[in-house]
Amino acid sequence: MVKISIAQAKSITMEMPEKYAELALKEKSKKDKAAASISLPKEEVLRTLTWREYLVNDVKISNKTKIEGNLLYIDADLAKKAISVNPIVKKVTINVIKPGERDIFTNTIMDIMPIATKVDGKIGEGFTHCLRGIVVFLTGTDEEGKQIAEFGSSHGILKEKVAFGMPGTPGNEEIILNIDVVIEKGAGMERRGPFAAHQVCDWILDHIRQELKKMPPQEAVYTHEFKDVRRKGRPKVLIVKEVGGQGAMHEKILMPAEPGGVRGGKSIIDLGNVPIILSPNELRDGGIHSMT
Amino acid sequence: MGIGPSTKETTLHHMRDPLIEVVQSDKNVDLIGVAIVGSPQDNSEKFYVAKRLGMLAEALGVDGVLIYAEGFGNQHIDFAAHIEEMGKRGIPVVGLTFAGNGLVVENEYMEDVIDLDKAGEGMETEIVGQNCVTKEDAIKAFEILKKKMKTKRRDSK
Repeated sequence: MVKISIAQAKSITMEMPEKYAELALKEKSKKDKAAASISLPKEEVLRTLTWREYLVNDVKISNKTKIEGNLLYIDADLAKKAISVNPIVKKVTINVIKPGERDIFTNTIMDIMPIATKVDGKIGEGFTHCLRGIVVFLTGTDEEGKQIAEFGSSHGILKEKVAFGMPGTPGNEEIILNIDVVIEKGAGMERRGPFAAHQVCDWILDHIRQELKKMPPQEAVYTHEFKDVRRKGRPKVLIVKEVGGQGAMHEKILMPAEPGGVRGGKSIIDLGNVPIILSPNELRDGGIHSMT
Repeated sequence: MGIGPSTKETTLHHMRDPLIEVVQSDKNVDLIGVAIVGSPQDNSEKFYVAKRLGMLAEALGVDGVLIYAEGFGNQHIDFAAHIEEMGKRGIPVVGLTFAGNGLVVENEYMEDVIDLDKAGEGMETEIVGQNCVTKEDAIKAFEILKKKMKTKRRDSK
């Protein structure tokens, strides 16, 4: 052990055997290493998803689909043309329900989804554009007026039939784009029936998505980066989501082409219901479309 | 039994799932991914997929699992089987589901199951989104899981 204490000095020369000097230096570098490993982040970023939101404060049914100055215009003809997408679908109606107008009747709510689109990359990474202030409600019946629902139907007065403000439902200030679909009688209890309704809804949304893709980054009102991270050495946690896979209305579409879409995805039933791994970002980016 | 309006997860819910947010934001755990498993119609198939899930968890070498099940009734047959597959392997597990008026099946590993019933009626309320996972549910389940993982680590030392 060498100990030196100097209060005031001009020039100091120290001599010691080489092995002591080596030891002193070695110890110091060890300490440095320890300090460095604590401050270094243990997170490894696997992929990044950049999420941009564009504000919509009104929706107008018009003769062309476009987004202009926080206004969403929807081509009225889309409802008519949508029937040709799937022969099971007999009629499509597009309604706009503004925040204060929820005291109305709607058919059973088959799904609630945002309008979002990939601008760059596939689901789970790259860039996604999403409309803020608006969500889509898909509702439907068959030709005989039977609700497309199996285990309980949510048809009725809208404001009483939805728990607003939950993770899966909109808040009180959001505009609801209601796409109501009438399908072939009796088809509601078969897989092809609800699927047709979801497919047609997706087809209509695709037209809005095409416009949403064109929005410039600087007009986004909200931007967030989601990261898929791994933290080596920490306890590994797996989240399991058991979802419906029994048949009509108990089905999910995994990894569609567009966030929360239908086209391009595979049904959990066709995949044999076996566990499939999705990354957290894939889930956030609409990797599951809920037909349940 | 099945999946009704109040217990189904909408597309929007999957995109804003509080489970993911809560687990991923904890810097002391490593969220390795989300396994999506379907609930088939036949009982034999339910056990088939549960077995696959067990093997997957084993192969991944996970330290803890949070299992959510959508709907209630026959969906809980798979739910119980999934938990059993984890329990048999000694993997700490916490379940989240709408229990209704009690689960239709139970086993020795199902000591920690969070009931998502918000209305307190124990039945399908037909109100969309009502009995789904909220942030509070996710935090509660995750805290229990962390405690269980800690106990297991301490015991194995």
